[in-house]
Amino acid sequence: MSPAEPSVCLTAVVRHRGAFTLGPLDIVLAPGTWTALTGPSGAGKTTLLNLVAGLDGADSGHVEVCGADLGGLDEAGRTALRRGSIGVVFQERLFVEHLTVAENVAVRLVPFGVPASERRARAAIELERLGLSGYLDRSVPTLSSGERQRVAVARAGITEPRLLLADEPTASVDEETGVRVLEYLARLRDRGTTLLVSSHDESAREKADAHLELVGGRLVV
Amino acid sequence: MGSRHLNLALAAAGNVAQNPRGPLVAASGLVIVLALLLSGLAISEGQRAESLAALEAGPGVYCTWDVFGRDAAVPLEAAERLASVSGVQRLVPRVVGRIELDGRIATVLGVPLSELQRADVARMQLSGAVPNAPHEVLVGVELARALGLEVGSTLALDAHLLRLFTVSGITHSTAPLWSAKAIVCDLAEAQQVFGDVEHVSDVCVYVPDGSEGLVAEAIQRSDRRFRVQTRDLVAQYFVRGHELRGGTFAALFALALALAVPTIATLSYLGATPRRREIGLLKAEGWSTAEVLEMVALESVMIGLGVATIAFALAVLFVRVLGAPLLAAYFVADLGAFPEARIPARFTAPMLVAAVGLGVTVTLAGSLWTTWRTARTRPIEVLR
Repeated sequence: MSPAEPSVCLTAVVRHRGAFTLGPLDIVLAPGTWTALTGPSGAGKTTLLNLVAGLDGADSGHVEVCGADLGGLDEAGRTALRRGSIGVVFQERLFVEHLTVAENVAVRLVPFGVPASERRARAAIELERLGLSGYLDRSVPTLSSGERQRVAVARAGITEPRLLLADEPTASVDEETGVRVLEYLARLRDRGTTLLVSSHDESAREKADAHLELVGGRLVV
Repeated sequence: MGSRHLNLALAAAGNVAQNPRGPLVAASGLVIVLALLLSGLAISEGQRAESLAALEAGPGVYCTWDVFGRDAAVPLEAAERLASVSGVQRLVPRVVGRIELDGRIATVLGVPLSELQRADVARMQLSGAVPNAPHEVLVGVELARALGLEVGSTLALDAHLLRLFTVSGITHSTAPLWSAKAIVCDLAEAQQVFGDVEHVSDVCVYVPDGSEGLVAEAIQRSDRRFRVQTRDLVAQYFVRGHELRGGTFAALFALALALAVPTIATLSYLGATPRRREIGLLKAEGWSTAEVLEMVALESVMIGLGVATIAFALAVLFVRVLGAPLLAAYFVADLGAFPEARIPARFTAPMLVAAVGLGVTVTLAGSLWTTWRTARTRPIEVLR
């Protein structure tokens, strides 16, 4: 992908889920930009993020991410793309519950062959940026929902991916912590990561370079 | 090993160590089946070794009598004639019969008193003493327990004629001659008990090593009515019967182990929603299917090794300490469900290797398929 090539390019993308239909959508995200994705609950924000992450497939249209046509990739190809280029913050804050916070944050680094000591050190840096110093050895079930949220953000950002997709990353945190999370994302953007962040948070929208609003599965902005 | 593989191995070890509940549930059933299989194989091997050793130490030729083409008791005068056959060193005529005692069937073995006195006491594992007089008997430990007999107790045998005996010793061995439910007494007394002083059940013929075949031929030529078996032939019959029983046992457990595969698979699949989500999450985070499978395979190997080690240790405890209740009776004749006799058992290194192989194979087969199926599914469907 050349520097000028968009990080994400959706062309006439449609995805049906029961009675709900997302699209048709045409979206272009320039590299190194932050795009805020807003809309009421059930508007299709999570479905869109899953499509861009290659976790779900479009029924029609083309999804191109980091120069790769997702429709032309098999499951292994989409997995490889996520591994090399995409970080995801899930709305459900999913974790491997029996692992420590540090192990969860660094779980993306395991298949890269990064040694355990280096993984821990890198997890410590990310957690410190998000105000979670000293949480390395905590077990995930003991965390509050706000802490889980920040751990999820740290996991997505640890590899400084080319594209980071975040689903409501500030939904469960107080204002001060929310600012810290947004600063963390802004830092990634400044280092070249393209951000697509779904949020109801007005301050998240203010930080963004662009804004997309979904209503009933269609873009209104 | 590349650092990626090392990372996966460490992740697998971490998963097993930090989340032992899941593997424990899946593995506990396998441990029990494997422990029983190892116990059975060890008893089978031990009994085989003891029996073959007893055969090796025993006579070179066994003689019975042919009546209408069937085995029959040997007339005493014919048995005595065997002493004149070339190559015969020693004759031990025996009477073997069954008798009912308090509703239980017991084996009565009669041999000349002189033979009893030269018997291998260590092999018998004797408490008390060998008989010194015709009215003294040895009793197997299982029978002694069932009848409440101790050294010095009086025992009445009544097959044809009522005879009273004193228990001089109790044998704890399960080797064939000293069966745990046998009563061993003087030959003439046994003949009296069964009411036939002119016959013996068979004759053990001791010959120089290597001359069994020649002596057997000479006996056969001396009188065509002798039915003659050499030690090798008896050993062959024994091994064949032993293998049949051991094979049936192993086949039953192979079936149980084969059933353990879908059981583990079902447990992994149904009982492991968190595991499915974990696999979906790893896939979403960029782990390839091969990497997920490698990690789960390594976990299975570790669990399989643990299963095999625990099963082996349990089997040793079950046989050596508890006496293999219920199981030993399948292999050792005349043993009760909760035997007091020492169980012949032999635990060998190849058994441990086989246990590891079985444990790993079953856990691998049980976990890999469900993992593969989960890893091949779109992560969003697994995470939903």
